[in-house]
Amino acid sequence: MNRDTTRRALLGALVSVGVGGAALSPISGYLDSFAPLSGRAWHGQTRSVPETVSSPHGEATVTYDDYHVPHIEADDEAAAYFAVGYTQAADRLFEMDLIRRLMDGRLAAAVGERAVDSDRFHAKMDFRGSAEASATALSGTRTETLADAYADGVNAYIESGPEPFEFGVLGYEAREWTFVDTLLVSTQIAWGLTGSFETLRRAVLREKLDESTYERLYETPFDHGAPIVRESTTGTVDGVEGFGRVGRPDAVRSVGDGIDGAFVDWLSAFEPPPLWGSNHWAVSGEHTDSGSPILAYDPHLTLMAPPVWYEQHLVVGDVDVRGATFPGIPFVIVGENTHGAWGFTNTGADVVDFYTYETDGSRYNYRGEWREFETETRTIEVADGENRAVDVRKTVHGAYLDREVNGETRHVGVAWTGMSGTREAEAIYEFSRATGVDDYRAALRKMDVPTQNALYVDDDHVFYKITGQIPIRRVDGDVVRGDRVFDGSAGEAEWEGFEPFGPSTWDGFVPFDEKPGVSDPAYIGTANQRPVDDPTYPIGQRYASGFRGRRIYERLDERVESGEPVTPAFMQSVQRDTLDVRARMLVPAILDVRERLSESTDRWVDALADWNYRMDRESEAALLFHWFYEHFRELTWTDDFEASGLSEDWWPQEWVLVTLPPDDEFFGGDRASVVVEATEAAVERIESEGWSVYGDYHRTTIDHQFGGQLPALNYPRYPTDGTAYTVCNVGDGANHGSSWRQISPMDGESLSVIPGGQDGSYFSEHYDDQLRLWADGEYKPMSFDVPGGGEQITFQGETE
Amino acid sequence: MSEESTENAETPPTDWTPQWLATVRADRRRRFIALVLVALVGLGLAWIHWLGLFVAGALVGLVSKSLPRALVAGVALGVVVLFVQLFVTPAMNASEFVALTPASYVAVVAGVLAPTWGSLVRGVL
Repeated sequence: MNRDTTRRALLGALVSVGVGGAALSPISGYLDSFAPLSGRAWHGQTRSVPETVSSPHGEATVTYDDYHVPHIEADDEAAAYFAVGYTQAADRLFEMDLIRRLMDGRLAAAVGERAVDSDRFHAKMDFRGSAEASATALSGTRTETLADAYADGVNAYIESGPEPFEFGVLGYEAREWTFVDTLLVSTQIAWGLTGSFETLRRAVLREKLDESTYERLYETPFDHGAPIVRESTTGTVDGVEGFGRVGRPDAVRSVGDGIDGAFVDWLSAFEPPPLWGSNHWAVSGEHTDSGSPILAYDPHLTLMAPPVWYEQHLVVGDVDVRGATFPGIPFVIVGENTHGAWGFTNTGADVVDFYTYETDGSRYNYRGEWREFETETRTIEVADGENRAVDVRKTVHGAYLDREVNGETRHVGVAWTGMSGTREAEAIYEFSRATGVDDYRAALRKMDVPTQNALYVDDDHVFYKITGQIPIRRVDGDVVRGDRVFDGSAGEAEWEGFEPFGPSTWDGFVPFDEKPGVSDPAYIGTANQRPVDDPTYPIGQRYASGFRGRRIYERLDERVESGEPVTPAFMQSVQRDTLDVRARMLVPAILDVRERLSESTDRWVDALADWNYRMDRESEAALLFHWFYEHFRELTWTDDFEASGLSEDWWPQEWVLVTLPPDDEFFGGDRASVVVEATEAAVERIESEGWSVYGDYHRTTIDHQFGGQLPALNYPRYPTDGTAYTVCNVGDGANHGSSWRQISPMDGESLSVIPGGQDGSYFSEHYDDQLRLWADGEYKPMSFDVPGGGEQITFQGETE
Repeated sequence: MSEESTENAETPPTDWTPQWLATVRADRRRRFIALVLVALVGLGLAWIHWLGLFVAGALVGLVSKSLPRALVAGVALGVVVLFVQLFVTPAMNASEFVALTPASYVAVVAGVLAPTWGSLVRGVL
C-alpha cells in the first residue's frame, strides 16, 4: 500500500511539474506560437482570405492571374485604391508592418532585443517626423484622399482577414494603417537610396591618408568613358557645364574631435546597403524594328523573402497601369500604362550634409547665440525585454546624432532632404495617369526625393532627367560640393529654402531645368555611373564604378552601328548580359603570369585562356575569376588599410583596383606577384570546397527575416548568373541584385519578373513561383488583359 | 490485489476514485463512449490553449482501464491532434508543415508528449 501511495504521489508530482514547467519556462512562448491546435502560428492558416468584402468606397473587383498578380478594376479611384490596400495586406501585411516598424523605431516591440540599436537610430533620425511633414505637405490633395482609401482597405483586411504566419511566430500584432505609415514606407526607400555617411567617411580618410593617395583612390573621376550623358549623345541636353570643381579640399578644415573612424563605423551600421543601384536604358523608335521606343529596366535592391516589390495592375476610368510598387504604397511606382513606361535608377546625388557644433550640455551655439536642442524622449518597447528610453535631439539643421565612446562624446548634425515635407507620393500617383512625356515631366517636378535617374518612354519620345531636390552649397559665395563636414555653429553652407521636419520652399536647390537631362536621345543608358562629366551644379561624390554603364553602351553602340534594328529580344539579351568588364581588364594579367603558377591551377587557367568573360553559372572560368578577384582585392588593400585602423568598408571602389598601375605601392610595386598569390589562393579555395562551376557557389541566397530561426521560410537556392558588376545583376552572396526586371516595348508585349513570388505566405503556391524563372534569366508576360477566370475578390459598396 | 496478468488487470481503485468513474472503467462499452466524449472535449480545450493538451490527455487517461492503457490513449490522442491540425489548416500541407523546423518539432513533440504526460494522472486517480 505504501509503495502504491508513493507511486501515485510521484506520478501526480510528475504531471504537475510537466505542466508547470511548460507554463513557466521560456518554452511557454514556443508553445503559444507552435503548439498544435492552439498555436497562434497555425491559426492564420485555418481560414482563407475572404472573397467578398464590404467597401465604404464603392465597388471593385480583383482578379488574380496565374502568378497571383492582382488585376483591380473599378469605376472609381477611391474604390480601386481601397481594393489595392486590401490586396496588398492580404499578400504582404507582414512585410508592410515590418518596414513601418523599422522606420518608426518600433521594431524591437515585435522582434525583441536585437532590434534595439536600430530602433534607437531610427528614433534619433525621426523618420516619423519626416513622414508627418510629408503628410502635411500633401494635406487636402487627391493623393491623400486615395492613400486614405488605401489605408481603409488595409485596415479592412487587418480586421477580417487571416493574420500572417509571422505574427503568430513571434506573437505580435499590427495596429491600424494610416497615410503616415505609407509615407514611412516611402521614406525607407528614399533613405535607402540616398542615405549615406560617405561624406564622413571621406573626411576621416582625408585625415588618415596623405593627400595624393587620397586623391587618386577616392577623388579621381573614373575614366570609363561612359557617363550617362555622353558627349556624343543626340537630343536636347540640360544641366551640363558650369561647375569647374571650385572649392576643392584645400579649403577643408580638419574635422577636429567631432568625427572619428569608430563613430563613422557605428553610423555605417545604419547606412543602407552600398550596392543598391540599378540599370535602365531606352532606345528611340529611330533604331527599333517597330519604330516605337523600348525601355528595359531592372532596379537592384536587397533580394529578400518576401520580395521588395509587389506587382499590380489597375484599370480605373481611363487609367490602365501595371507595374511594381513597395507594399505599403498604394500607387504603381515603376511600370507602364497605356501611354508610356518608366523606371528609376539611383543617381548617387549627395543630399545629406553633416555639421559639427560647439556644444554645452543641452545647448549648441548657432550664429553666436546659445540655443537649446529640440529634445524629445521616446520609449523603445522591447518584446520579452526591458523598455529603453532614447533622447531624440534636433538642431536647426535636422537630426543630431551622438554617441559616447570611452567617455568622449562624438556628435554630428545630419540634414537630409527627405526630412522635410516632400511630395513624391503625389508625383508617383501622377505618373500612373500620365498620357505622355509632358504629363510625366510635370509630375517629375514634385518628386522631391529620392534623387533618381528618371527614364521615360512614350510612343514618340525618350526622356531622361535627374529628379529630386539637390542642395546648392555655398561657402564664401562659391558653390562647393557637400563632401565635407560643415561648421554648424557658423551656419556654414546651409540649404536655402529647406525646413527639416517642416515645409520647404526648395528655393535654394538646383532648379529643375538645370539638372542633367536629355530629351529625345537616339538611345541612352544609366547604371548609377556619374551622370555627366561636367554638370552645371555638383550632383554627388560617389558613383558606381561604371562597369555596367560601359557595357550597356557597348552593346547599344554595337547594335546601332551594325544597322540591325533593336528588338525586345535584343533588349532582353542586354538585360541578361553577363560579361564582366573587370574580367576583360584583368584576365590578361593572370595569363601573363602563367609560368609562375603551380600545376594545380592548370585546369583553371586553361579555362580562363579560352573564356569570353561571361559570368555564367555553368562556367569554370567564372568561378575562378570570382575567387581570384576576391583574393586580389583583399591582398591589395587589407594590410595598408588595417594599419590605419580601417576595415573593408573603407576600401576604394573596384574601378580603382582594376586600373591601379602594376607598379603601384598598394601592390608593393609588383602587381604580378599579387596576381600569382590571388590565383593560387582562389584555386585552393575552390578545390577545398569542391566547386567546379560558378553556379556551384553562386546561388540565390534570398532569405526571410525570420529565416535564421525557421530556415524553411528562405527561398530555395538556385544557381544563377551574373555579379554585382555585370548588367545581369546578382551580387556576390546573391542576396542583392535585380529585384524587378521589366521590358517595355511601346509597340509590343511587355515582360516582367520578380525574384520570388507575389504572396508573402509561405504556404501559398505563389510564395516563390517566379524565382526559378528569374534565376534562369526568363520572364513572364506583363499583360494588360484582365484574366477571364481565376481567383477573385469582390468589393461591394456599403448600402446606406 | 488481483492475481490476473498485468495486461488485463485494472489499476486498483484508490480511496478517492469516484464510484461512477470506476463504473465507467469497468464496462467496455461505457469506456468507449466516455473515451470518444472526453477526446472531443479535450480537442476543444486544446484548440483554446496548449494546457488543454495536458487536460485532454488527463481526460482520456482517466477513463482508461489501467495506467498502461491510459498512456497508450494519451499517445493516440496526440496523433489525432496532429491529424486534426492538418485537417483544419487546409492551406498548410503536411510536407510544408514538417519542413518548418524547429516549429514543427515543437508542434509534434508537444502534440504527442503533452497528452501522454497528462494521461499519467491515471496513475494517481
